[in-house]
Amino acid sequence: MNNTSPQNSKYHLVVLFCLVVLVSACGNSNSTCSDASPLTARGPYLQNISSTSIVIKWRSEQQTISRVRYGSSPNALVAVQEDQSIDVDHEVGLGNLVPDTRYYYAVNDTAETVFSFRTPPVEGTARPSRVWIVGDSGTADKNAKNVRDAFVDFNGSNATDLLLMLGDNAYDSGADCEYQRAFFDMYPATIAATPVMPTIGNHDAREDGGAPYFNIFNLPIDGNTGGVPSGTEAYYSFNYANIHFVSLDSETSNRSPSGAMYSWLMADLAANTQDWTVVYFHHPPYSKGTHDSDQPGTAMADMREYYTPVFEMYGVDLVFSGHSHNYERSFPILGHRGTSATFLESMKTDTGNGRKDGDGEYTKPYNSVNQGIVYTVAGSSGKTRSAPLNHPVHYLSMSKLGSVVLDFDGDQLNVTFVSPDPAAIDYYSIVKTI
Amino acid sequence: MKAIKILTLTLLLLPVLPAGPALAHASLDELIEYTTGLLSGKPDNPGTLLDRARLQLKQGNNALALSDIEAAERSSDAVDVAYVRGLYFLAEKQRQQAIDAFGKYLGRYPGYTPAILNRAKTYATLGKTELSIRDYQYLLSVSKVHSPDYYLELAQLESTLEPCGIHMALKSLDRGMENLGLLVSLQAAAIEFELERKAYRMALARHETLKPWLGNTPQWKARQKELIGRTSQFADEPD
Repeated sequence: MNNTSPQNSKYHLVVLFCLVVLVSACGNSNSTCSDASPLTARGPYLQNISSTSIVIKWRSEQQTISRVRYGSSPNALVAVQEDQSIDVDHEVGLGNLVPDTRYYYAVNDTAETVFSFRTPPVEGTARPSRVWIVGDSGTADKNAKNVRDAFVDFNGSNATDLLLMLGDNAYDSGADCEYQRAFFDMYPATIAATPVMPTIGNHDAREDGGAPYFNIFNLPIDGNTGGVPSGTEAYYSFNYANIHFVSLDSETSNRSPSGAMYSWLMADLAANTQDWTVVYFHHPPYSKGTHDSDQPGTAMADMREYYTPVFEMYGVDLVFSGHSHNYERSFPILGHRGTSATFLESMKTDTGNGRKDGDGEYTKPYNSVNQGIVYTVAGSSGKTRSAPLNHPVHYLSMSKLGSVVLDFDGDQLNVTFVSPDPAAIDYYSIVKTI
Repeated sequence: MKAIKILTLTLLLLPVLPAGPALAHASLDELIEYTTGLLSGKPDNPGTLLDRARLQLKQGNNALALSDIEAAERSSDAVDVAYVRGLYFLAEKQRQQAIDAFGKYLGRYPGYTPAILNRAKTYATLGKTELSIRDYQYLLSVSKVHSPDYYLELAQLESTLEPCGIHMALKSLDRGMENLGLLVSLQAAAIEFELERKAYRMALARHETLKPWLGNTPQWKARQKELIGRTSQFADEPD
């Protein structure tokens, strides 16, 4: 049969057109972007916050000086901080701020728009604080939008104090233009008001070893926002109110106990005196999601074998990871280093669901060590996929889109999984006791 | 009419058909499948062949990786492919061949830090300490971002050299702290080297520098007590 007749050619052309439409529609949000394309304005966004300082960054389409006007009232932006050098990428640090105060600001490109942020209280002071956590959110598509919108609905008019990102923040390779779509265009309102503290994922490191990631984010390396200086933006720590946050690099840094990250972590956690400690990094120590942490020789196995003993030794409360595109939340557990088959019921320090209206909140004494830690895989903020989801450390495992909200209030922490799917529910609380 | 039917059918099938580039952020298997799909259109594309080769290496499929590397060599040239070939040799534990391949690549792309770091580590594995040190020093001279690990790994190698390796190691650690700021990770290693060369006062002095961050911890206090004890018990060896 001759397939080259004019009629057949027309037929093939139509099929080809359909395929082009199809691929374009399916891959639209993730098609390869080019960093050579004209620059798009971005931000402003907030970095490196302390109770008395903050860094504001943004990009303009044209080269200009950098100027921030700010003040404690939206109608009186009386203070000015500027840098006269001409550039498209801008970075202005504000200092001498008053702790626990709302500031209003405008940057030169958006002079008509007034944004605001709130400084944290003096380190060590408890204040109700809300932290939003997204993992593997970098799809720049409808899924990510739905997760974002579910959080916005949940949050209402409340302030969000920090945004943590668990890595793979911009698919496919963490290129600058991918960050534009997956981060700057996705969360403009949030990042103008809420400091973003990310960790690096495997996809973020694909482009030039993570160069765009390190250019975009200014992360604390010198201990000025609390914690011990790490000397690198790849891993760092900081304090916010009475909470100590640690972002580890499970992708690009040496993970072995002879490496710099390990000795830094030991020192950082030993020096930590905050009431709550949250650690986050990309590769989950316990997962049977789209990635299996039982695989030997992987970053997941390294983080479990080398780092979970340190978390326990220094009283870490919560550990968050992504990488698996699922939601998996553990019981409080202790002492599990091997594969899932070696997990024992006795390694659970509490066998309940942690809910006040269920089996009761999890409790642990202040400044205690070797208590159970809750591990969460929250890599479903951009996509999800079916998986075995049968790791025995987990109280709950599901393939549902969503993000996690932490609400710290004095001696109580409430954790909520927020999903676009109203049937996907998880929440629990931890109460610190004297 | 037929064309409209096909278009309608295709659009109806949209939700159930796999996405194109959208699935690139997926498991290794899926990424391999994706690159294979790309190669079905352009089977000789050396970049895609090398992408798939690296994925195959990650997956432990060394023979399949080699096949892609050889295909890439046929459509490109051996130098451009040499870095991934070096990774293949590493996976096969053919370390000298890996060093040669990284060297070939660096001949054309002298600032490619992954090749420098891989060659440095491979030299170290082969016990070729001086060559490894040379690569770490080269890495520090060309890399835009300095990791504390570069200094730490360099110092560990230097410390094994006779007769003044520890002195060299301390210099590297101090250079790291000059560039990156005072770091526990580097200073803790320096303290160990000071103790190794019996420079107890220097060890104590370095330990004191960590006081602003660690001074209140039981670990720091216990170490301080131990170092004071050693300082008063033993005289420092002459430097």
